[in-house]
Amino acid sequence: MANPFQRFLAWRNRQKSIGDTKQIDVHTAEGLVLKLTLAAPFQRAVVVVLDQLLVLLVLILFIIGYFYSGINTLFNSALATILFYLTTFFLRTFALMVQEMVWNGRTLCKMWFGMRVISLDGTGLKSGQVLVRNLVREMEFFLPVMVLFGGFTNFGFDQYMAVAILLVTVCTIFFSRRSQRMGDYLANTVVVMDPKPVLLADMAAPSHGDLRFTFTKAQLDHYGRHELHVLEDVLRVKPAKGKKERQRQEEKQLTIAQTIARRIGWNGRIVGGQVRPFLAAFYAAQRDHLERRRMMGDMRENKFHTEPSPDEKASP
Amino acid sequence: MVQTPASDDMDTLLIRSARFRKEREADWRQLEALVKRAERSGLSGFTLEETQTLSSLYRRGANALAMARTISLDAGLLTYLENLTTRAWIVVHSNREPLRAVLAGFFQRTAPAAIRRCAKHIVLAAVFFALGAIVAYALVISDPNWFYTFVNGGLAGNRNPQASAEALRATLFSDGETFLDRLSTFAGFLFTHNTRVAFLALALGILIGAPTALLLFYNGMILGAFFAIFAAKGLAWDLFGWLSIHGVTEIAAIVIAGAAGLRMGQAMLFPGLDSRAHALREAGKDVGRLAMIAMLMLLVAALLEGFARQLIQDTTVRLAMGWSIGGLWLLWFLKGVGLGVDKRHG
Repeated sequence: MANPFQRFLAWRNRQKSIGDTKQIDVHTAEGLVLKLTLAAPFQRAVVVVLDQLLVLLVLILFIIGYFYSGINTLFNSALATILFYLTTFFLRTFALMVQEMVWNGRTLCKMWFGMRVISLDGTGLKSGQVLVRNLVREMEFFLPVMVLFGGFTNFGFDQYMAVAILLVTVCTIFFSRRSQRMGDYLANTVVVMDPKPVLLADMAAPSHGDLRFTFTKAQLDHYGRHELHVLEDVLRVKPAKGKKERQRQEEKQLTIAQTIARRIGWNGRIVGGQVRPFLAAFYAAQRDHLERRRMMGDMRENKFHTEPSPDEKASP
Repeated sequence: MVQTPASDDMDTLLIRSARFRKEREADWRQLEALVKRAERSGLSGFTLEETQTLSSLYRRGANALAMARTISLDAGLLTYLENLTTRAWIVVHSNREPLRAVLAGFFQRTAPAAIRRCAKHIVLAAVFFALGAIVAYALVISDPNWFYTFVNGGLAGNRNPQASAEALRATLFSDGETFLDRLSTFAGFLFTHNTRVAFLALALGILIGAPTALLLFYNGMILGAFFAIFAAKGLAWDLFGWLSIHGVTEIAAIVIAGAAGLRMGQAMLFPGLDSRAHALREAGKDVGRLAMIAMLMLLVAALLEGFARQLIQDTTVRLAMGWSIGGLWLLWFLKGVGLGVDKRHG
C-alpha cells in the first residue's frame, strides 16, 4: 500500500466479491502448476498511460534542458527540430520495451503498482515476446488514438478504421479468459499481479496442547477445510484500536465460539477472557484432525462432507 | 525429510504441518532473500555458489509447495509458498540471453526464416499493391482527371497533370541543397506518409486483414497515378530512377508490413484445428520479426532518401544503386548469413 491510488484500487477490489479476482494456472517447465492473480484490464490501462506520461515528462525535461542550457544557440532551428523528432520517435517507440526487457517484464509504473508480464510457456520472458507485445500495443491502441485525435476537424475513413481497431482491442481484452490483449495473444504473455511472499505466523503453533481445551474426535468431525480457513482469518485479525470497536470485535468472536461449541457439543462454558484461547485451541485441534484425515485421502472440503471418522463408525 | 530432534519437547507438541513448516522455514527465508536480491540488482552479481544455492533452494521450495498442498491446511503458509515459488520461478527463468546473441540470431536465422515462412503473404501483399498501381496508371493515362481522385493535394505538391515537363523534371533533379536540408528530409521522413502507411498496414491486420489489402491497393494506386502523369510528359524513366533509389527498399518495407498484417488476419480468420489463441501465438513470432524488418528497411530508406537521392543526380546510377540495395535485401532474406532453414522453429 505504497500510494493513494493503490489504496483506492485495493478498496475497489474489496468492494467486489472475492470470486471476481481472476486466477490463472501457469504450468512451469518443471511441471509445477502455479496460481497467479491476473491484473485487471482497467488497472493495466491506467498503468500504461502513466508509463507514457513518464516518457512525456522525460521529453519535456529534455526540451527545457535544451533551451536553458543554451545548446539551442549552437544549432539552427532545423537541426533542433530534427533532434526533437528523433528523440521523440525513439523514446516513444522503445522506452517501455527496454524497461520490460531489462527489468524482466516490469516497467517503472508496473513495479509501482505491483504488476509484471510473464510468459505463458512456462519459462522466462524472451526479448522477442517483449518486442511483439510492445509493438502491437502501438498499433492496437496508440496509433488509432492518435488518428482519432487528428480527426477532430474532419472525421473520415481513417477515423472509422481507428474506431474499429479500438473496438476490437477492447472486446479482445474483455472476452479474453486471461485478460489478454492482441499483443499478449501474439507474444503468448499475460500481465499478473506480482506475487509478494509474506510469511504469516502459524496460528496453530503456540496454542496446540492447551490443556484447558481438549476435543474428542467426534467433536472434530463437523467442519471441513473451508470453515477452518475462515477460522484462520478470524484468528489473524489484529485487536482493534478503538475501545468500542474492540468490544464489537470481541462480541463477534464470542458468537463464533458459542456457535462452534453448540455445533460440536462442547460442554464447558466459555467466559470472557477464554474466547480467543478457545478458538485458537479449536483451530489447532481441528487442523491437526483434518490434516490427518487428508493423509488418508479424506479431503473434507467443507461442513457438508458426509463421511464420519472411522473411530466413530466403530463406536456407535 | 530433515530430522527433528526428539528431545525438543516443544516440537513434539506441534502438529505435523507446523513441524513441516518449522523444519524448512530457514530455507525459505534464504530463498526469499536471494530472490529479492536478484530482482533488485540482477543475477550477474551472483557467485557460482550463490547461483547453485538459488537453484537448489528453488527446487526445494517447489517440492515443499507440492507437499504443502497435500498435507497442510495452513492457508497463510500455502499462500506464502505459492508466491515465493512463483517469484523464484520468475528469477530462475529470467532471460539471460545477451543482447548480442539476440541480435545475431535475428540477423542470421530468425528474420530471414520468418520472411521465407511468410513468402505467400508477401507475394499476396505485393499483388494487391501492384494491382492498385496498374489500375490507377491505366485510368490516369486514359483521363488525367482521375489523378485528383487518387492523390490528395498535400502529397502531390506541384506534381499534377497540369504541371509542365520542366516543373516535373525539377522535382526529380535538384542541386544546391545543404547537408542540413538532407538531414531534415531524413528526420521528416520518419513521420511521413509512407512510414504511417507501413504501420497502418500492420495495424489494420487486427481487423482480420481485409483493410490491410485495401490500404495496399490504395497506395499502389497513388504510385500508379504519379507514374501516369510523369509518363505523359516522357519522364517515366527518370521518375523510375528517382523512386528506385529509396523506393525499392521503402515499398518492399510497406509490402512486408502489409504481409505481417495479412499473417495476423489469417491467424484470426483461419486458426486451423487449434484454438484461435494458439494460431495467434504462432503468428506472433513471424509478425514481430516482419515488423522489425520493415522498421529497419524504412530507416535505411530514410537515409537513402535524405542523402543518396540528392547526392546522386544521374538516373542510371540511381537505378543501379536502388536495385542493388534491393538485391542485397533479397540475398539476406534468402540466405540469412550462412545458415539454412531455421530448425528451432516449426
